[in-house]
Amino acid sequence: MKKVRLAAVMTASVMLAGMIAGCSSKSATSTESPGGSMPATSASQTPMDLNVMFYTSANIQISHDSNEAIKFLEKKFNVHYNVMDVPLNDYTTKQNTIVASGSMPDVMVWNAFPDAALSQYIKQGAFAQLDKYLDSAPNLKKYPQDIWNNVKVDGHYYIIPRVRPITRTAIEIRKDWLDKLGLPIPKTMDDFAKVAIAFAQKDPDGNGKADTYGIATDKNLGNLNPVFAAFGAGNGWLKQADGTLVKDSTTSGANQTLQWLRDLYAQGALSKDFPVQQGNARKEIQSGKAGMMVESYIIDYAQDLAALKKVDPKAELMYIDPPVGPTGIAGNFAGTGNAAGWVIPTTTKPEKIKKILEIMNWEASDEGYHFNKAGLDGIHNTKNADGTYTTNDKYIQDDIKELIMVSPYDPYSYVDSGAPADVQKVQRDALDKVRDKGIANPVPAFISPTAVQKNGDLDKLRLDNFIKIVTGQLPASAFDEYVSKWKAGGGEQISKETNEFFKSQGGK
Amino acid sequence: MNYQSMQTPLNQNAVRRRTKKGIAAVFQDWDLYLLAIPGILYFLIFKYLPMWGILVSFQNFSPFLGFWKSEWVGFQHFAELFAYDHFWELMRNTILISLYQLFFFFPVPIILALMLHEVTRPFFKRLVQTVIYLPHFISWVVIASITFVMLSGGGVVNHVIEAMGGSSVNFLSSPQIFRTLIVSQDIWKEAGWGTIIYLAALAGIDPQIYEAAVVDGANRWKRMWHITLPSIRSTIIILFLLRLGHILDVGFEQIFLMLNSLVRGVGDVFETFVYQKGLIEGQVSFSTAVGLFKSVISLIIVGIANWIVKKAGEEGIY
Amino acid sequence: MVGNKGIGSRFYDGANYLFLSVVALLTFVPFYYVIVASLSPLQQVLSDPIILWPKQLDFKAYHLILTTASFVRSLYFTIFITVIGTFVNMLLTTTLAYSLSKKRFRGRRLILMLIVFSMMFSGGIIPTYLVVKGLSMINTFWALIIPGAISAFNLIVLKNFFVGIPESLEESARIDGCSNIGTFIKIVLPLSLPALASFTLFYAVGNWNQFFAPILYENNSRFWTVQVVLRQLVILGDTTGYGTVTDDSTKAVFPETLKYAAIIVSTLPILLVYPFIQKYFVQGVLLGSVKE
Repeated sequence: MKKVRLAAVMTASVMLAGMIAGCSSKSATSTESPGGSMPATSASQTPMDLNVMFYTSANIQISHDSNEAIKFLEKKFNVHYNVMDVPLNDYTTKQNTIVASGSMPDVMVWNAFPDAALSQYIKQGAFAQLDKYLDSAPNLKKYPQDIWNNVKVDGHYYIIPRVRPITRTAIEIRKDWLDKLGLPIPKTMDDFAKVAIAFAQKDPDGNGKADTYGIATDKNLGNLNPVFAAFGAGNGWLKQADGTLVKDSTTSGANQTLQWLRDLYAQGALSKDFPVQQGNARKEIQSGKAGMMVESYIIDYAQDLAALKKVDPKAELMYIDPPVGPTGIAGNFAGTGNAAGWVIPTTTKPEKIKKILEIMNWEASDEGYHFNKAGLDGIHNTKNADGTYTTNDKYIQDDIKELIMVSPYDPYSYVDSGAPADVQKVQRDALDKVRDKGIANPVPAFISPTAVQKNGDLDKLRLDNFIKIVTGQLPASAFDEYVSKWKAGGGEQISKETNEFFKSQGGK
Repeated sequence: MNYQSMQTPLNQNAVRRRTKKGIAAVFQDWDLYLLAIPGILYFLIFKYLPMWGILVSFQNFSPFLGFWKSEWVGFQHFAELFAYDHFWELMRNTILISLYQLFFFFPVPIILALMLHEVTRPFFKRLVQTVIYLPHFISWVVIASITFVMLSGGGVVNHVIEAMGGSSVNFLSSPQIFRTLIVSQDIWKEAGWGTIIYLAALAGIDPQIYEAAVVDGANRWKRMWHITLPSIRSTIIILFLLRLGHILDVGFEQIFLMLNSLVRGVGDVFETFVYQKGLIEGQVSFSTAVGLFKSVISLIIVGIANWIVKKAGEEGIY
Repeated sequence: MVGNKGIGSRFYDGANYLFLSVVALLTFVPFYYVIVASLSPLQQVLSDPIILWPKQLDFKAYHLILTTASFVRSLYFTIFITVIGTFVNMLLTTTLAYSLSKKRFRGRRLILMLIVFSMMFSGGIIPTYLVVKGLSMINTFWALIIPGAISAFNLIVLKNFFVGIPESLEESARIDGCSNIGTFIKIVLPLSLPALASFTLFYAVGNWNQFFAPILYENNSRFWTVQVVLRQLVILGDTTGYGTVTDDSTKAVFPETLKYAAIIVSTLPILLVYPFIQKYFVQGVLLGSVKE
């Protein structure tokens, strides 16, 4: 037994050592400089070291030394730009680990907003308040006020949003199938139902096989929001006549949507296998199986078309208006207008914060935007006769698009600049049509404390019930049971907290 | 004749007579301890130094505040876990899938290894070996895709069934089939790779023993039963014990991919539950608490099993 | 493999071969699908569920992978990591496993218990990260080698193999004046070649397939391993609305074929190494050569 005691003492002392070690690493305030050569300091001021962390979805390993874009930025702003490019996949773990590590970069991307963890860190003082710094960044302040409002935490700014068009989805439909079956462009929910069923039953691709269907979705019942919206379910929360908010998944609108979907599923207008599907809804369009994607991200259009044309060279995809519901409501969901954004740890010194905002301010200017889209004239692009610029391979190699931290608000940023002109026009027109018409969430940036705890389970409850109602495994009346389960499982509390917050913000 | 005794190590007492007692023993074998130092250091530094992380399950750990400044909440997370209204479902699903794997998956590499061992043509043996190792390298994402193509309502197998006049089977949305599906995928992916260890053990059998047995008139079955199997007995036991140590860890990625709303009742396990919570909460503490819970149970099971094994005279894992 | 060739034995043989052939076939068919799909034009992969043979041999997916500069760089880096890493793995694992296989090792039981305990109880990602950081390994290649140096599983199984080596063989060497380390190197290791070969293979594959450690411990893409690069390539086409605009949509990312090609590419190197390991699985040869 002495051995066990010895073991216990040993283990405890090692653990204690670990805890102490874990504690002391907290005090590090110096930022790490992960390699890279220091440029010769001939200027009177030494270049400022900047560690910039972000996630990359490209496959370029940004190399500091041969990158012209980095060289340009370094010279222009007198900085030493250290790129910390992390793969997209596990970025969430990485960003949370970096917060724990005690040595954070000077500025980093936070990949989700609103985010419970981020709110917690902000409350605990991990990230700097940027209000006063923003005063000297006029280009950033030019962002639409809505977007800035959506990123406030406790009335202050801690995150610089990476702006995106607020409304960025539209209904994507196979025009060639409509033509083949002699159908007009659907407008009402009934029209959409008719078209979806026809796509499934009338062999629109003409190959003699019943291998097509109407509306694409996946096992998370995704990409269907405009349908929910048309039946009046709202986005996240529905504001009622008396000013109170009701959770969208518990409204009668949601119920009607489920009945509508259930009807369609029974007639084959939804993929038989959608509840067990591997892969997302986009794949269904690209492979020529689905005729409509009710919520397609306009930015995906170019790729969807290119992939689809490989399967069916005669295919035509177009964007149409969202369906109009029985009470006349129609719309795509409006987002928060950001793809999360940049946060600056409190460990970053004030002069570095100023410098970072100086760089961002420039990037949000016209000149900066040109650099974003075309790089340095002559190095990253060639100028065309008509005044436009064509980017070259070096532009891709330098990964300027990801190097840039922010960009001006450009409602057309979802246009695929590598696509042929006619494709770009489709995207541009679609973006025009949906702009400012999106249905917004009345409390987009709010996460209630109970929601933090319960949303995981409530979401599962919603999804499982919804899918079973649509496939017919549960009777249509099961919806009411879902609502009471939702309320009992924490929904009641969340509703209360959200309404309180909403009132405190003026209830608009 | 007991063929095992031909390979039994010498009487330990004879060896012990030559060694000294107490601290002198350490000095006599100083180089043995020297060999062990790097490995022991590794475990101390990389496994025990971070172990304070377990205590995080009693806190509301904030990565920013760190261990010393995070709030202590005692057993709150465990209470939350046990109070979860689907807790027993998670428990049942986890245990059932584990047991299925133990009964159905575990013997397969052994059987395959034994069969390969009996093959005399080297080319055939090498070919089969290489082929059955391949699935190990295929990612679960691809396996899930292939499974979907094969077994979905509009998939290959159902096409064949319908062509033969039957009605399509809901392989992927049927709770009854789910566990079998999971274990079958696992067998397909890992059983081949799992033969490697057993083949290594089989390669250590002295061929002279087989020769002696043939001379004694033993046929194939008798040879397998009395020589081959006993020779890998300790390997089987060790691997079995090690598997028990992970009895509550059922492959997260695989189940996550195959899970859907229609089979969640039988497929949701602790890991998938934690994953869903973690996404929203972003908190480390809850998942650590669930992990701790699982570890304690595994420890108890392994402890009991190891004791049984040692009582039976075999080498355990400690 | 000795044996009489009576009817019973031949029947046994036949059944054996048949069964193994069926197993091999079942195992190979989906893999065959992966190979064929990786070589088929995107259109075929998207529209046909089963592909027996590509309509046209389409190397685009492979071309994309092999010409991506980051892939080539990661290839060299991963080979480097795998070679050094596996060496470190085997060095630490065999030495510790051998010492712990000797019953006369004082504290043996305690140490084994602690090792088993560490297999089931782990501090977690953040505490381990802090240790790695404390040792200044962050953003160095050592973080991909040292933190995972010993797999407790491999250690325990290898210890088991060492225990199975007859003490008598070692005894004769010790009587001749050989030290513990000498016995280890000259007697035990040569007798354990099948086991050593297996674990070398396991560690090598593990090192080769690393993708999480490079993301967690490294802050720069120059430490990307093959798996990291391949996953990035596949992600490109699988995301919706991430705002990633491609620069040439006619080269439209085709995640389907890419996924399959990625598997073949990452499997190939191991398949090339494997034949060298194969020969150590020949039974009994070496045991016989070190007779008492």
